[in-house]
Amino acid sequence: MSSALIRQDLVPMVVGYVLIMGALAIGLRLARRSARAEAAGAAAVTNPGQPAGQTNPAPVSAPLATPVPAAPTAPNAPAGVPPAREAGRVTARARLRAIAAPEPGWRRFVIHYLGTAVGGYLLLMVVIIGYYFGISPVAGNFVQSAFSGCALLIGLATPVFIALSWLVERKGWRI
Amino acid sequence: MTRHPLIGYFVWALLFGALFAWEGLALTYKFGDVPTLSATFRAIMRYPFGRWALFALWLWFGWHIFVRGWHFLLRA
Repeated sequence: MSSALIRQDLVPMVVGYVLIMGALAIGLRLARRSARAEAAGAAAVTNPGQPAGQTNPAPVSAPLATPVPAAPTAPNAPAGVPPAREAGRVTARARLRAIAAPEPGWRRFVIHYLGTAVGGYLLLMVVIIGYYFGISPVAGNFVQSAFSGCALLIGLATPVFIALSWLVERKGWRI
Repeated sequence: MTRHPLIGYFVWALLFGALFAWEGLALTYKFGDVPTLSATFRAIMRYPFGRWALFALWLWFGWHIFVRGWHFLLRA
Protein backbone atom coordinates (compact mmCIF):
# COMPACT_ATOMS: atom_id res chain seq x y z
CA MET A 1 0.00 0.00 0.00
CA SER A 2 1.35 3.41 -0.89
CA SER A 3 1.85 6.02 1.79
CA ALA A 4 -0.60 8.36 0.02
CA LEU A 5 -3.28 5.71 0.19
CA ILE A 6 -2.64 5.17 3.90
CA ARG A 7 -2.73 8.92 4.56
CA GLN A 8 -5.83 9.68 2.48
CA ASP A 9 -8.02 6.64 2.99
CA LEU A 10 -6.93 4.40 5.82
CA VAL A 11 -6.02 6.98 8.47
CA PRO A 12 -9.29 8.95 8.21
CA MET A 13 -11.28 5.71 8.35
CA VAL A 14 -9.45 4.40 11.40
CA VAL A 15 -9.53 7.76 13.19
CA GLY A 16 -13.24 8.17 12.48
CA TYR A 17 -13.92 4.68 13.77
CA VAL A 18 -11.92 5.30 16.94
CA LEU A 19 -13.65 8.66 17.53
CA ILE A 20 -17.16 7.22 17.15
CA MET A 21 -16.49 4.12 19.19
CA GLY A 22 -14.68 6.13 21.86
CA ALA A 23 -17.58 8.56 22.12
CA LEU A 24 -20.06 5.69 22.39
CA ALA A 25 -17.94 3.97 25.04
CA ILE A 26 -17.71 7.14 27.13
CA GLY A 27 -21.45 7.67 26.80
CA LEU A 28 -22.21 4.10 27.83
CA ARG A 29 -19.95 4.43 30.85
CA LEU A 30 -21.59 7.69 31.92
CA ALA A 31 -25.08 6.24 31.41
CA ARG A 32 -24.27 3.19 33.50
CA ARG A 33 -22.78 5.31 36.25
CA SER A 34 -25.85 7.58 36.39
CA ALA A 35 -28.18 4.55 36.33
CA ARG A 36 -26.29 3.10 39.30
CA ALA A 37 -26.54 6.42 41.17
CA GLU A 38 -30.27 6.64 40.41
CA ALA A 39 -30.83 3.11 41.72
CA ALA A 40 -28.97 3.96 44.90
CA GLY A 41 -31.01 7.17 45.27
CA ALA A 42 -34.29 5.29 44.78
CA ALA A 43 -33.27 2.72 47.39
CA ALA A 44 -32.44 5.52 49.80
CA VAL A 45 -35.86 7.12 49.26
CA THR A 46 -37.84 3.87 49.73
CA ASN A 47 -35.80 2.69 52.73
CA PRO A 48 -34.52 5.82 54.39
CA GLY A 49 -33.27 4.00 57.47
CA GLN A 50 -31.48 1.20 55.61
CA PRO A 51 -28.35 1.03 53.55
CA ALA A 52 -29.02 0.73 49.77
CA GLY A 53 -28.19 -2.97 49.49
CA GLN A 54 -30.14 -4.10 52.56
CA THR A 55 -33.74 -5.23 51.99
CA ASN A 56 -34.95 -6.45 55.36
CA PRO A 57 -38.74 -6.05 55.62
CA ALA A 58 -40.06 -3.86 58.39
CA PRO A 59 -41.71 -5.70 61.29
CA VAL A 60 -45.47 -6.07 60.74
CA SER A 61 -46.51 -5.31 64.30
CA ALA A 62 -43.97 -3.48 66.35
CA PRO A 63 -44.54 -3.48 70.06
CA LEU A 64 -45.99 -0.25 71.31
CA ALA A 65 -43.32 0.18 73.90
CA THR A 66 -40.53 0.14 71.34
CA PRO A 67 -38.64 3.39 71.60
CA VAL A 68 -38.77 5.32 68.32
CA PRO A 69 -35.34 6.51 67.23
CA ALA A 70 -35.18 10.24 66.83
CA ALA A 71 -34.68 11.34 63.20
CA PRO A 72 -32.87 8.47 61.43
CA THR A 73 -29.93 9.58 59.33
CA ALA A 74 -29.80 8.86 55.62
CA PRO A 75 -27.52 5.92 54.77
CA ASN A 76 -25.41 7.72 52.15
CA ALA A 77 -25.17 10.96 54.03
CA PRO A 78 -21.61 11.94 54.84
CA ALA A 79 -20.78 12.22 58.49
CA GLY A 80 -21.88 15.55 59.88
CA VAL A 81 -24.60 16.27 57.27
CA PRO A 82 -27.95 16.76 58.99
CA PRO A 83 -30.71 14.42 57.77
CA ALA A 84 -32.99 17.33 56.90
CA ARG A 85 -30.42 18.71 54.48
CA GLU A 86 -29.91 15.25 52.93
CA ALA A 87 -33.68 14.88 52.47
CA GLY A 88 -33.71 18.32 50.85
CA ARG A 89 -31.04 17.18 48.42
CA VAL A 90 -33.09 14.11 47.49
CA THR A 91 -36.23 16.16 46.86
CA ALA A 92 -34.24 18.71 44.83
CA ARG A 93 -32.90 15.86 42.72
CA ALA A 94 -36.43 14.51 42.25
CA ARG A 95 -37.64 17.98 41.28
CA LEU A 96 -34.85 18.32 38.70
CA ARG A 97 -35.74 14.89 37.31
CA ALA A 98 -39.39 15.94 37.06
CA ILE A 99 -38.39 19.04 35.10
CA ALA A 100 -36.12 17.08 32.75
CA ALA A 101 -38.60 14.22 32.23
CA PRO A 102 -42.15 15.43 32.88
CA GLU A 103 -45.33 13.44 32.38
CA PRO A 104 -45.90 12.05 28.87
CA GLY A 105 -47.24 14.77 26.58
CA TRP A 106 -46.16 17.53 24.22
CA ARG A 107 -43.93 19.17 26.83
CA ARG A 108 -41.98 15.97 27.30
CA PHE A 109 -41.83 15.44 23.54
CA VAL A 110 -40.39 18.92 22.95
CA ILE A 111 -37.85 18.56 25.76
CA HIS A 112 -36.81 15.14 24.44
CA TYR A 113 -36.52 16.41 20.87
CA LEU A 114 -34.61 19.55 21.82
CA GLY A 115 -32.28 17.58 24.07
CA THR A 116 -31.51 15.10 21.31
CA ALA A 117 -31.15 17.69 18.53
CA VAL A 118 -29.02 20.15 20.49
CA GLY A 119 -26.91 17.40 22.06
CA GLY A 120 -26.35 15.69 18.71
CA TYR A 121 -25.52 18.96 16.97
CA LEU A 122 -23.03 19.98 19.65
CA LEU A 123 -21.44 16.52 19.67
CA LEU A 124 -21.01 16.61 15.89
CA MET A 125 -19.49 20.07 16.03
CA VAL A 126 -17.03 18.97 18.73
CA VAL A 127 -16.00 15.99 16.60
CA ILE A 128 -15.69 18.16 13.47
CA ILE A 129 -13.59 20.76 15.26
CA GLY A 130 -11.40 18.09 16.84
CA TYR A 131 -10.93 16.21 13.59
CA TYR A 132 -10.55 19.01 11.06
CA PHE A 133 -8.45 21.28 13.24
CA GLY A 134 -6.43 18.67 15.08
CA ILE A 135 -6.03 15.64 12.83
CA SER A 136 -6.75 16.44 9.22
CA PRO A 137 -6.91 20.18 8.44
CA VAL A 138 -9.06 21.10 5.48
CA ALA A 139 -8.95 24.23 3.34
CA GLY A 140 -11.84 26.53 2.46
CA ASN A 141 -15.02 27.08 4.40
CA PHE A 142 -15.76 23.41 4.99
CA VAL A 143 -16.09 23.70 8.78
CA GLN A 144 -18.22 26.86 8.64
CA SER A 145 -20.38 25.16 6.05
CA ALA A 146 -20.78 22.15 8.37
CA PHE A 147 -21.97 24.46 11.17
CA SER A 148 -24.52 26.31 9.06
CA GLY A 149 -25.54 23.33 6.91
CA CYS A 150 -26.29 21.05 9.86
CA ALA A 151 -28.25 23.83 11.57
CA LEU A 152 -30.20 24.34 8.35
CA LEU A 153 -30.93 20.61 8.16
CA ILE A 154 -32.27 20.62 11.73
CA GLY A 155 -34.36 23.70 10.94
CA LEU A 156 -35.84 22.03 7.85
CA ALA A 157 -36.46 18.67 9.52
CA THR A 158 -38.00 19.98 12.77
CA PRO A 159 -41.37 21.21 11.43
CA VAL A 160 -41.76 18.08 9.31
CA PHE A 161 -40.99 15.85 12.29
CA ILE A 162 -43.39 17.75 14.57
CA ALA A 163 -46.15 17.69 11.93
CA LEU A 164 -45.72 13.95 11.36
CA SER A 165 -45.68 13.30 15.12
CA TRP A 166 -48.93 15.27 15.48
CA LEU A 167 -50.56 13.34 12.62
CA VAL A 168 -49.47 9.98 14.06
CA GLU A 169 -50.41 10.74 17.67
CA ARG A 170 -53.59 12.79 17.22
CA LYS A 171 -54.97 11.70 13.85
CA GLY A 172 -54.02 8.04 13.96
CA TRP A 173 -51.84 8.13 10.87
CA ARG A 174 -49.78 5.05 10.16
CA ILE A 175 -46.45 5.61 8.46
CA MET B 1 -13.57 14.07 -10.19
CA THR B 2 -10.58 12.88 -8.17
CA ARG B 3 -9.39 9.40 -9.01
CA HIS B 4 -8.57 7.13 -6.09
CA PRO B 5 -6.86 3.75 -5.99
CA LEU B 6 -9.25 0.87 -6.52
CA ILE B 7 -8.45 -0.69 -3.15
CA GLY B 8 -9.96 2.30 -1.36
CA TYR B 9 -13.35 1.62 -2.98
CA PHE B 10 -12.89 -2.09 -2.37
CA VAL B 11 -12.46 -1.53 1.38
CA TRP B 12 -15.69 0.49 1.53
CA ALA B 13 -17.54 -2.17 -0.45
CA LEU B 14 -16.19 -4.83 1.89
CA LEU B 15 -17.29 -2.87 4.99
CA PHE B 16 -20.81 -2.28 3.68
CA GLY B 17 -21.03 -5.87 2.48
CA ALA B 18 -20.05 -7.11 5.92
CA LEU B 19 -22.67 -4.83 7.50
CA PHE B 20 -25.48 -6.16 5.34
CA ALA B 21 -24.26 -9.76 5.68
CA TRP B 22 -24.32 -9.44 9.48
CA GLU B 23 -27.80 -7.93 9.38
CA GLY B 24 -28.93 -10.76 7.11
CA LEU B 25 -27.56 -13.32 9.55
CA ALA B 26 -29.33 -11.60 12.43
CA LEU B 27 -32.64 -11.54 10.55
CA THR B 28 -32.56 -15.27 9.85
CA TYR B 29 -32.64 -16.03 13.62
CA LYS B 30 -30.55 -19.11 12.91
CA PHE B 31 -27.32 -18.00 14.51
CA GLY B 32 -28.16 -17.71 18.15
CA ASP B 33 -28.94 -14.41 19.77
CA VAL B 34 -27.48 -12.01 17.19
CA PRO B 35 -29.13 -8.57 17.52
CA THR B 36 -30.39 -6.90 14.35
CA LEU B 37 -29.38 -3.40 13.41
CA SER B 38 -32.71 -2.00 14.63
CA ALA B 39 -32.34 -3.82 17.97
CA THR B 40 -28.84 -2.38 18.29
CA PHE B 41 -30.13 1.12 17.56
CA ARG B 42 -32.90 0.68 20.12
CA ALA B 43 -30.32 -0.34 22.73
CA ILE B 44 -28.14 2.67 21.90
CA MET B 45 -31.09 5.09 21.95
CA ARG B 46 -31.99 4.15 25.50
CA TYR B 47 -29.25 6.52 26.65
CA PRO B 48 -29.03 10.26 25.94
CA PHE B 49 -25.44 10.07 24.73
CA GLY B 50 -26.35 7.28 22.33
CA ARG B 51 -29.18 9.41 20.94
CA TRP B 52 -26.79 12.32 20.50
CA ALA B 53 -24.27 10.11 18.67
CA LEU B 54 -26.91 8.71 16.33
CA PHE B 55 -28.39 12.15 15.71
CA ALA B 56 -24.88 13.44 14.95
CA LEU B 57 -24.39 10.62 12.42
CA TRP B 58 -27.77 11.38 10.85
CA LEU B 59 -26.84 15.07 10.61
CA TRP B 60 -23.49 14.25 9.06
CA PHE B 61 -24.98 12.03 6.37
CA GLY B 62 -27.93 14.36 5.79
CA TRP B 63 -25.65 17.35 5.45
CA HIS B 64 -23.49 15.56 2.89
CA ILE B 65 -26.39 14.14 0.92
CA PHE B 66 -28.97 16.95 1.00
CA VAL B 67 -27.32 20.22 1.97
CA ARG B 68 -23.73 20.34 0.66
CA GLY B 69 -23.58 21.80 -2.83
CA TRP B 70 -27.31 22.44 -2.71
CA HIS B 71 -28.72 25.39 -4.62
CA PHE B 72 -32.16 26.91 -4.53
CA LEU B 73 -34.56 25.23 -6.87
CA LEU B 74 -34.12 26.01 -10.56
CA ARG B 75 -31.22 28.39 -9.92
CA ALA B 76 -29.14 28.59 -13.07
